Amino acid sequence: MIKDIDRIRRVITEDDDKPQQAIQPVPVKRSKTDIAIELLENFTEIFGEDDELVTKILDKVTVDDICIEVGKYNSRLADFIKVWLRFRLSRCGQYGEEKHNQVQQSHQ
Amino acid sequence: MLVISLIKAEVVMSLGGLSLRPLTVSVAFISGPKGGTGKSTIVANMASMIDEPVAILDLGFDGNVTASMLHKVEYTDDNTGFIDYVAYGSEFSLLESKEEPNVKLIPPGSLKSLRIPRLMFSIPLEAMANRISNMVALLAKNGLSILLIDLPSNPSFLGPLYPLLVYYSDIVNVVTEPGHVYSSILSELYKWLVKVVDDEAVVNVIVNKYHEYFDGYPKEANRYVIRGKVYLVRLDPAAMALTLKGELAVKYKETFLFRKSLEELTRDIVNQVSMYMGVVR
Repeated sequence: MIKDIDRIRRVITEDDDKPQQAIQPVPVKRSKTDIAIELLENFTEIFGEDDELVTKILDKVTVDDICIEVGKYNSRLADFIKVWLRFRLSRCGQYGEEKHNQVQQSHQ
Repeated sequence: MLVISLIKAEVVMSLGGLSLRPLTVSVAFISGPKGGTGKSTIVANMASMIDEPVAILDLGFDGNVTASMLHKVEYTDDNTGFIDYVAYGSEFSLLESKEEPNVKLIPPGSLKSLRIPRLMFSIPLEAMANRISNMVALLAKNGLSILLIDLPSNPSFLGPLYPLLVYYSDIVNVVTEPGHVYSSILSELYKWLVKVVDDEAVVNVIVNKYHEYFDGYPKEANRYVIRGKVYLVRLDPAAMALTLKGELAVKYKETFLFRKSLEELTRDIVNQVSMYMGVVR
């Protein structure tokens, strides 16, 4: 009897042919603290070590804009971010702080 | 000890001088992902009960090559085996059992098991298929009528060679243990098997370590049989103890429960082999 090797080939490649289902995130009820922690993680990632990026972002938005948004979820976190951002800005050098003050004034 | 003979099929095979009937019948033993079901023990003991030249292809390298151990055969790194043969076309050893002169063993090979799946995926399927049929022809030429293939529990250890070996087997025995927990393993394995086995293949289910306490399970096993039967191999502590000591349990009279079950199973499988060769009792 002649063997049909393609039959085995189909079995072997079966899993590859199947459309890969995207892994759906499991819906979980999130507390405000969870959201705040996530925000903080994203925030520290964006505002991490890149001085140029920090300056660029804070050219567009003010520290207060950020703190008002974060404050909707967690006011204590907003206070922390306010202090942290001021400190972060001071590390960006004279230019960053001055530029930021100008933006803030123009917003007002 | 009872020995079971095979009805010779020379008459049928000589018809017209050309026959498509096999001279060596391949009988595979698989268990799905669950190890320790007793495949190797059944293979080793069954081989010793058959009064015919039998070859055991021992691929139980995911465990401790139990079938070879029970036949007191030890492998060295020089023993090239089946994997070397399939991968590189090198010669494979055919070692004599120290327990039964009619039993020969084909070692798994000198390659390390972790390297095997990757290696197997790199070889064309046709090349592997050719080597398997050549090996069967070679065994037939050496007068070995039955090839018992002891496959590893974990199919991924052999990559594409695993389904290929099952496909090239004329009789496939699914060895399982009693208990409803094994039903899902069996049903998954069956879904895979129907896609793999040859259209003429026989699929038996062997429920090993069976006891009356596991009422009802064999009925479910009936669903997973193709042209075959469900066999119950009785739970026998004496047989288990002797196997752990590295002995062929069927050789001891204390293991009458195990021996009786295995006799029935062996007789039926030998009948199936005879039918495969074109002989009906």
